[in-house]
Amino acid sequence: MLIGMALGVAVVFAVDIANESAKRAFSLSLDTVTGRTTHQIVAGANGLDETIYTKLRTELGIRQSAPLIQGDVNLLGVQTPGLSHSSESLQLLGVDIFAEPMFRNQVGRTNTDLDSLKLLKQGAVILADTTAQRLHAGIGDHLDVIDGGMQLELIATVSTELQPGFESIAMVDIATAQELLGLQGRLSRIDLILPLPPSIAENNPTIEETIRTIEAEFPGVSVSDAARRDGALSQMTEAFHTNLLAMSLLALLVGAFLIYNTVTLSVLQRRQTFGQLRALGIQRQQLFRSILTETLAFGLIGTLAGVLVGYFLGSLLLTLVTRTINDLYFTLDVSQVEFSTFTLIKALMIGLGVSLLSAVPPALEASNSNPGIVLQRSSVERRVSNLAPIIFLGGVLLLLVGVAILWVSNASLWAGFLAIFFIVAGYSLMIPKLLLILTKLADRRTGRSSTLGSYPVRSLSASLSRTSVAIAALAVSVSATAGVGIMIGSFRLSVDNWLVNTLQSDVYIRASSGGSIPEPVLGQLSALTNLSGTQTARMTEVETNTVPVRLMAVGFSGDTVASYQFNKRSNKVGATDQSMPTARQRMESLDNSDSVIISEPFANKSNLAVNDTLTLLTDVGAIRFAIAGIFTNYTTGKGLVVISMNTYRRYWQDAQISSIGLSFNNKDVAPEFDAISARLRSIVANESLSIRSNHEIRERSLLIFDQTFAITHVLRILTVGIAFVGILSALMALSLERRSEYAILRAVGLTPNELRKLLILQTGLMGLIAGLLALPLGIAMSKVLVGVINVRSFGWTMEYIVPSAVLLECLLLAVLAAILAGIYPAQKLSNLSPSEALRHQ
Amino acid sequence: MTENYLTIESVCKSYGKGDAAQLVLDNVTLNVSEGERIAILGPSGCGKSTLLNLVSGIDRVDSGTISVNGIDLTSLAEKELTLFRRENIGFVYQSFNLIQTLTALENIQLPLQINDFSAGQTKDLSMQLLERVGLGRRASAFPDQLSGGEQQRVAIARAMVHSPALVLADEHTGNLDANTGREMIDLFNELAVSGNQTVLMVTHSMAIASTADRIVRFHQGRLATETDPDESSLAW
Ligand SMILES: Nc1ncnc2c1ncn2[C@@H]1O[C@H](COP(=O)(O)OP(=O)(O)OP(=O)(O)O)[C@@H](O)[C@H]1O
Ligand SMILES: [Mg+2]
Repeated sequence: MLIGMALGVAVVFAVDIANESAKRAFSLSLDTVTGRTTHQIVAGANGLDETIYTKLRTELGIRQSAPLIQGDVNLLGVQTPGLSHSSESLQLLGVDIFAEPMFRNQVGRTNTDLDSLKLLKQGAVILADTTAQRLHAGIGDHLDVIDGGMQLELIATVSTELQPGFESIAMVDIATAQELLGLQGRLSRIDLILPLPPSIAENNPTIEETIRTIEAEFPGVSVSDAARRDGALSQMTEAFHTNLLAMSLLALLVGAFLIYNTVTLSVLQRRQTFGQLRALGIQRQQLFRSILTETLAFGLIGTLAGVLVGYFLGSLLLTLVTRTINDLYFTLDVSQVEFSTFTLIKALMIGLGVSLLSAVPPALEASNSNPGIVLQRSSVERRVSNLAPIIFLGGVLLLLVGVAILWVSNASLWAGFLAIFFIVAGYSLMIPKLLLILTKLADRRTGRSSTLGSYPVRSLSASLSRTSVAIAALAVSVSATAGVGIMIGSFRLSVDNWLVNTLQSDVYIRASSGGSIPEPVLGQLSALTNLSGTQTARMTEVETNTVPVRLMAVGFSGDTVASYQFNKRSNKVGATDQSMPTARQRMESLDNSDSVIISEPFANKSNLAVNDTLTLLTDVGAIRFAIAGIFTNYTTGKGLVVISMNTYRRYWQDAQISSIGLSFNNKDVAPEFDAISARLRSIVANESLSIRSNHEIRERSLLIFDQTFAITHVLRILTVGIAFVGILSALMALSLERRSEYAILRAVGLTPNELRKLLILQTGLMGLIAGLLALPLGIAMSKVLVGVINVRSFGWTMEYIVPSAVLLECLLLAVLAAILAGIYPAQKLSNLSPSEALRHQ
Repeated sequence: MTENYLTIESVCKSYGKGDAAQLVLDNVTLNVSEGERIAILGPSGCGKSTLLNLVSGIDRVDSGTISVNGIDLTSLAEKELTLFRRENIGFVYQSFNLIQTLTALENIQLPLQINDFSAGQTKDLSMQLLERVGLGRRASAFPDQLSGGEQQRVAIARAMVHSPALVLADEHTGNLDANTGREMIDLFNELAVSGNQTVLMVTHSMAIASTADRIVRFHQGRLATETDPDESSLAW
């Protein structure tokens, strides 16, 4: 009993704390990066010129300013005998140690007495103590930068006790960061604290005035609100968390089923005792009260145990959650499991509330009955059967409410979740009646064929209060598996199609982040024989009037064609098919006009449509670009804006190329392709460039995709696991109620083996019914997931397919889970002594 | 009539362990010939039901042997014992023990289905017997829609439908009023006699016991006396 209750509570609690911890770590990490900054000076793709900072301080006298360089860095741990060679990917934060204390106070809190000037030394780095530990690095140790051709010396650590947000950060001096990222003379941004203190600026300018002064002084830069930038970032993780929250709601539902079953089972086990107590003259209310008190006590112990189990389960989940966030968004490091009192109270309420509620009906029954009637379980079941149509109608009503929410809500995220919840709850209520109908159908078929005639099927519908709860729990969790499975299947297919369409070149050569491909290499590459076309791209980050975006300038030559899947649905203007320009026309129009195409997630999030304009911060100031199209894109992170190389070079003084795609003739002839690869490697040798073939990229991308969804697999397995325990407890209750019936069968002449087979057949049947019932619900869930939730939370629209393999898998899963759950009770019942069971009747 | 169709030889049975152990059957020996109908009388708790359970093989002896038609039941494994029971033994319980989810007819069909009778035979035989116990028109009624007497008729039909050689009945009239009980016993005897079935029936009623060929008295786990029903009716 305790196990069931504890498990129910544990799941809810675990998912909650995993969520909460990741969320908290996220905002902490953001705080560390942003500090007390109110505003930020930012500029185009290449960031700001360093001189702006000096001028800002000297000429404008704005001393409350701090320069900053931000990027990603991969550090290789110190090789330690007996330990695996660890590596960490961290956010590189290049700061000016003199300006810092005002903004971020972690430097003052280093563990070692730090002469802050030490950080000025080229290659010096400060890490969080926990990060250093994981890298097996002590003060003075040198750490290799992967792909950076440089070493960093650990000069100090910051305690994560004091600065929990520091965990994912590597802090270096500006100069070191510039060298590491290849951004000599540039800054990512300058942080400001506005308004300026009165003592510094005599005439007390307002924030707006200061911003105007700065923007006037330095053409091409803009000042943005720090809080707004962070908001845009956290919005993205928010979306991810809502997906997890949906999972936790599901866990809640399944957990409630579980607790209901366990509690009723435990009261049921002692009905006879209760009957005797009543016969001995114990008052009805007294008995009722004592059953509830006892349930409450057990509930409390079970819930506490659940919280404990949930805590450990939660830390396990947490690693998975952060891995997904890291894969999806940015580097985040959480080692601390956090939960709020609210989460705790929620878990306690669920544990105790559901136990008490589920104890009421059996307690009422037990306290009402006299010893004679206690055994008349069938009378209870008959009442449940009679109620089934009413419950069914209630379910239909809830289901309609769910559909109505979807209808009127115009696809808002929360409405989507609410709708799913209503649909699931409604559908579960419909299950008893559906079960009756299904068993009636099955009865007609099996009545003639099976050895025991109608018995196996009949007894399922005869114990409706048990079987329907078990079947509902299994059906709901299996349907969630199906729903998520279909969603992921559709998604994966869409991503794969997109990759195949987008990756038109055969080989891609890319500079490491922020860098560029050297001119001589480019020359050698374009001189290659067999080359049929090239595609060059420059990847940078630029500011828009709201959030920073990734800007990709692309140029084509030869037979390489632009390959973007344009999204018809999002192109609200002129959306008739005939007037839709082709992808090629769209790309050509990019060459000759100030227009861009933008990624679908960015369009959805920023509410942009075709023919709208987007303001980009170019090297010659803010320019408005027309949006010529919206293309499918499944990468995550910042929005992606594509511009033609010609247009890019008109507005940005940047002739560099970050990547080049090469297409070859005769690429299908294997030996020639090997020769090409060898040639490419020799050209690229000694440069920090990566060569990836079309296939490699595709495989890697799909691998990352699969990793990203690893957590949903775990949650799916978890829900099915819980449903398994739910079924097990329902079957235990059932076998307890049916003991004498099975004893009769044994007495009439069923061998233990035959009885075991019969019981397994029954549970298999329950699984099959649950599986069948789960399919429509799963398909409905996947529709909502694909059509509403993913569009809303990630901005991705995708194709929708229902892979029959997923459906089959779910049927099998349901049957298997049920049969596995049936093995123990079947074993126990078949070894029962019939005389014993009949005696205790 | 074969002598010693059923032999119960020095059977002992106790329940519980150690100090709490209670000797329920103490060296019981009884021989029954084929087709003979035996009534077992005795005070409550003297071990009558226990004896029937041992004979039907749903419980095991501690020592001694029980053999039916030359087959030693006590030496059989669980599976063989069950297979023997399903074919050769019919059992009527005091509390009917019908399966609630099956109709009257389906309850009667159970032993036939388990014994692999063909579908046609199953249907014919069960319907025939249901008619004979006077419930032809209640075939599709569920047990809780039947009166106690009706339920007991179904139970009797279920015990007899596959013509087992040995029929055991444990106070199968105990729950019924005197008149219905009398009717029931007549029906039971009629079926048993026409099928030449060997019968062991436990009862508290002298009147019912006197319809048997022989009466056996139990007292504290021992066979007290054996009497001819005619003599005993004189003695009472
Ligand atoms: N499985 C068991 N475990 C423990 N004791 C048992 C068991 N079965 C029977 N007994 C005990 O054995 C004794 C004989 O029981 P049994 O049911 O055979 O009596 P009975 O003669 O049929 O009585 P009644 O006329 O009341 O039915 C009783 O004291 C009973 O408590
Ligand atoms: Mg008895």
